[in-house]
This record gives sequence, structure tokens and C-alpha cells, in this order.
Amino acid sequence: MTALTRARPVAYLVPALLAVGLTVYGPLLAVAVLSLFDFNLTTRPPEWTGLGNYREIFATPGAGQAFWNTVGYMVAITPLSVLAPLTAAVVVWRLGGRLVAFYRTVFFLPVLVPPAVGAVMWEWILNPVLGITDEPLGLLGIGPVDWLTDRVPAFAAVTVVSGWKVFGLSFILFTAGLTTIDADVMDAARLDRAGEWRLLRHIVLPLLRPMTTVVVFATVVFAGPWTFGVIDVLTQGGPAGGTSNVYYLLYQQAFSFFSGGPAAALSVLITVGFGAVVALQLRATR
Amino acid sequence: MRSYRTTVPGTVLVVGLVVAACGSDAGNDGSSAAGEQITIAFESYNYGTDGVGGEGTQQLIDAFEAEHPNIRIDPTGTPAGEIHSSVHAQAAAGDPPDVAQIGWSKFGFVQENLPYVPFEQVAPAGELQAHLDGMYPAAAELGRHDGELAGMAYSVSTPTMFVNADLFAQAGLDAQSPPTTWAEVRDAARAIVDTGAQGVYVDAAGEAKSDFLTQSLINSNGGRLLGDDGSLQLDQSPAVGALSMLGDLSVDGLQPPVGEAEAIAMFEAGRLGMLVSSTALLGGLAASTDGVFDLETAGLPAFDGHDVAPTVSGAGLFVFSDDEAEQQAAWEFVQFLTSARGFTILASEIGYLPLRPALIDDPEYLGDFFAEDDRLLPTVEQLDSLRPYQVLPGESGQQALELMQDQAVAPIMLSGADPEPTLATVAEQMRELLEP
Repeated sequence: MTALTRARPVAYLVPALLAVGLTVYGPLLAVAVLSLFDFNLTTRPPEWTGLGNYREIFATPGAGQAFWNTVGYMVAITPLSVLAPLTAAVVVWRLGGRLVAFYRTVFFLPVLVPPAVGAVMWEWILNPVLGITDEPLGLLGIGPVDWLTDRVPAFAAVTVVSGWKVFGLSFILFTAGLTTIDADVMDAARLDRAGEWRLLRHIVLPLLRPMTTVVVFATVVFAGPWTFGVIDVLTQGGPAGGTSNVYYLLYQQAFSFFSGGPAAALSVLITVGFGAVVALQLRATR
Repeated sequence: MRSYRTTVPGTVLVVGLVVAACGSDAGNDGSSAAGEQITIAFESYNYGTDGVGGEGTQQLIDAFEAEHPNIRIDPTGTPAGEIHSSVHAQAAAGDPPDVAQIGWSKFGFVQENLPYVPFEQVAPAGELQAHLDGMYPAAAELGRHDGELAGMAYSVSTPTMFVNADLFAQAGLDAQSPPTTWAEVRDAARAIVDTGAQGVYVDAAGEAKSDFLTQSLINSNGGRLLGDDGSLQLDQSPAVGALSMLGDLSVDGLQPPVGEAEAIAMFEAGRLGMLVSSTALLGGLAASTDGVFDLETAGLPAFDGHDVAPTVSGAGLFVFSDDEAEQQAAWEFVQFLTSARGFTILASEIGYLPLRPALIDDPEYLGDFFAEDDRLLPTVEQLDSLRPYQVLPGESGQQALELMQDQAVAPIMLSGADPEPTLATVAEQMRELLEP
């Protein structure tokens, strides 16, 4: 293979590289440069601050809590974004029959509800006076819960509402994964007298591993963005920063306070931080 | 080949000329060739909303355009809590609206971040002072910064207490003699809660992140948010006392721990006895509660031993035009909105305060309105005890304000946070942000 032949495919990549460079890496580089300046885009010209914006963002009240909440959401949402949809998908798949399409539709429907609409709906469901959560909780002997104004219930509410939105997407992904399992493999295992539990443990789950990896990967990377819209509508990060995360902090810095420099610095930190997490995840699943 | 080479550049030239012609037309912002017709952009948080706020603003625009056929208003509606950031984004792109209605709680942000044009530069010599004559002096000075008038007082309101007279009657209370102190509010709320309804809601932690009620409560408890030397007083005893009262209402079950929107909905549904909020809600509540219950109003309750000392909420009008003709049109528009006729529409249609006292008894303006419906009067009477709204200074003033509202006021009011240590911690964080 000549050097010219080897180089030829590069020409075909140029349009894609240009598009990605201009829309992703160019702005990323610009943000990295801007993170070293103090600016507000209007009345003050950019002023060099070096690493001052990074120091400022670390000193921002609530930054530490926003970081730990981000990690907390990743962990707390996993049962709703991975385990529950996996279980539901397997159950529906094993049930079979005419109602499969109905179940799939029901489970997927929340994904189609616009995030803001869904969050407003939940806001009223969780209302401690007019909502509908008190009655069933009362039957269990649990008193009225201030879902959106107490720290722990508010964190749980944001997690559940975000998980409710994501559940359907994961369910469909797992369902797609299940359809790729060869029926002959299952039949062969049954001939060997494997029961349902053994089928699940030794055939279904191993064959679903690539899809499970994708869903777990998506949960880790997107738990922050998934929760952002819910936080904005339900709690605005409150009470006392108890439900904020780094994305909401970034939004506040950039669009509430217009602190351009610290917002750019936080963007860089988020990109680097999640880049490291993704790299570790890729290495672990290689 | 030759003809192709001449046709393509020719086509490009023709298209370019057409685009340039269209561009120059659009660049005049709607001006006609004669330069008589002009369009100005107006961004407002009342415009486009359902109910009286949107209808009243449209009425103002229609009346202005009828009086000034050469000026067309291009309005945009943006939520109150986002309008400053919307204007900022447009200013960053080099195209801010000509006139914007921005809340007083964002005045510090405006001073630091928005390229407003002071009215001394917008109004022809002599016209500004003539226009301000006849307004409440305290209101006329609201928008002054560094000796110049940055914003014109427009949709101004003070805290008021809306009363559900039916729930009062059920609880054995008289809505014609509403509570005048917070101690009386507690007693009335207790009586209402005993009937199965909710007692009182003080709208101090709303989504618009305005601190006008926070400041009004601190002022009325004998304090100030900022001392005479500009130092933060949030952790001093007047502020601690004021916010403790707010928290105690929730802790004692007299105030539902809900957000602003839910509280207003509860009040409209007739399930909340008293709602302490902005006068600006009057028009909407009068319409939405008509036929549901009898709505009454009262002034902001006082703390025992102190005079009530509210500050303002609402917004001013700020001009951002950099073109002389647009500035002139913007000035005409601002003059109209804050004229006798403008305030008549603002007060009678929406419920904002008429900032020209002469209008109240004048039958040509608001005389008949107040004769028929005096529910705006308690807050008009409060204008005499008005304290200026205090702006948290510096680049991080807005961040400090939101920190106070999110980390102190809301947790104390809704989540049972202990006022004294909470205010001490948040005040310390705010001082760091407010350091020059």
C-alpha cells in the first residue's frame, strides 16, 4: 500500500473533522481560553485573571455540595435507569403474548412527555397540601412529607422524577438487546433442563452485557443533564443547595449571575472531570 | 463556458444587490425611506401573559400607538426572573431591546452588566424634570445611580396582604378589621387553620428571586439590609427577628411549606386565608376570585413596637437604544407609560401603584376607579412610609442576593432552618461575595 493510498481516506474525513472541529472542539478551546479571563460580555472588556476563575469557582458557596450531589444523582438514579428497566424488559419479554406492544408503549410513554411538562405535573403531585402523595403515605403510617422543601425528600423527588423520564428509554434499549438473543440458544439451554433463573443468569444477562454497558455508561455521563431540567422546575437547586448539581451551578453562574469567567472555568472542570470518568469506564469495559 | 462564467457572477451580483437592498431596509428597524416611521423593541414581563397583566400592557401599547402613529412597538414577553439575562444576552450580541421592563431586585445587575442609556441622555433638555414633577419623590428617585436616572419608575408595587373574607367569617374573624401586626396575623391564621383551611403565606421566597419582601420585613423590624456604611446587616437582630417570625409561621403549621405558584393557586381556590405578596397580584386575584370568595386587602402588617417600613417591588423602564431616533421614540414611549394616562391603565387594569398622587382623586383618571374599588388604597397609603430598595453592590451583588434568598430566606421560611446560625453563615458568604 503506497503512502498516497494510505492517505486517501483522510480526505473523506475532512468534512466530518471540520464540522466536529468547528462545532465542538473550537468552542471547547474558546471556553478554555475564556476561563482565564474575567468578562461579562457587555460592559467590561475581558481582563486576564489566570487561574483566578478556578479559585473562585472552588470558593463558590455550594460548589462542594453541587459536586457531591452530582455523584449522588449518578448512584441514586441507577436503580431507575438500569435495574428497574432491565427487570421490566426481561419480564415483558418472557411474558410474550398480545399485550407486549401495550406494555412497551406504557413504559416508553413518559419519555415522550416534554421534561418541563413532566416536572410541573410532578410539582403538583408532590404538593404537600394539594398533592396526592399524603393519603397513601398516611396508610403506611408515614406523616405528610414536604417533598420539595426538605433536603432529603427533595433529593429523592428529583431523582425519582428524573428516573421516571429515563426509565422508558432504558427499557426500550434493553428490549432491543433482548430481541438479539438467539432463540436457539435459549431452546438448547432448556433441553439441558435449565430453569428460568439459570437462563437469566447464564444466558440472558451475559448476552445483554453490551447493552447494559451502554445504559450504565449513559447513566454516569447523563445523570447530571437528566436531572438539570427537573431541578430547574421543581426546586431551583434548593432547599439551601440540597438538590443542586454542577450543571445547575454552571447555569446559575452563566445565566443568572453572568459570571462569564467562573462559568467557563466550571465548564472546563466538568469536561475534564467527565472525560476522566469516561476514560476510566472505557478502560474497565474494554 | 464563457457564458457560464459571466452568468454566475452576474447572478451573484444581482442577488447581492437584492439582499443588500433588503438588508438596508431591515437595518432601519422598520423606518420608512422618509424616516418618519420607526419601530422600537419593548421587552416586558407583563406582555403576553394570561390575564390582566398581559391585557393591560397590550392596552398601553395600543393607546400609545394610537397617539403616536409614527412609532410602532415591537413587544416581547419574558418572565420576570429571566428578563435581565435575556437583555444581557441580546446586548452581548449587540442588539438589546430599545426599552426593557426590569425588576428593581435586578437593579444591581443592570448597573454592573447592562449598557443602559441614562435618561439625561435620552430626554431632550428640560423634559425629564418636567416629566418627573408630580410623581412621588421617593418613586421618582428609585432608578437613580451615580447621580443619573438609569431607570424610570414604572410598574411599582409594595407588599400587601390579600384576605379571604369568607374564610375570615368562617373563623369568626372580621375581614373589615384585618390584622395589622404579625402577632395578630398569627392569631388570625391559627383561627383559620382550626377551620381546616391554610392560614397565611408570605411570598418572600418566590421564583423571581426578588428580596423586596425580605427587605420590607427587615425594615419593618427596625433594621436595614445594608447599614449606613454599606455593611451587610443580615445577621443582626432585626433581620434575625424578622426571618424568625417567617419561619415560625411554617414551624407552627400556620403557613404551608409550598412554593409561590402553589400558594397563589391555593389562595385562588379559597383554601388560604391570607396571602402577603405584591400589589401587582391585585388585578389578577380580583378577576380569578370573583365568584369564588370575597377578596379584601390590607397593608403590610407591622412588628410590635415598630412602624411598618416597606420597600418596593416591581420594575423600572430602562432604555438601551444607541440610535438617536430610536432614543427619541423610546423616550416618547417611556413618557407615555409613566404619564397620567399610563399610570391610570397600570393601576386600574393591572394593580400597580399610580405613582402620580394627583390621579387618585381626579375623576378624569382614577377617581371613579377608587370610588368603586378601594382595594388598592392600603398600599397607596403605604407609599408615605416607603423605604428605598437597597441594591447589593458590586459584580457579585446578584449572586449575593440569590444566595440570601436561596440559602437563607427559603430554608428558614419553608424548611425549618434555624434562623440565627443560617443567617450568620449566609451573611459571611455574602460578605465575601460583596468584597470590592
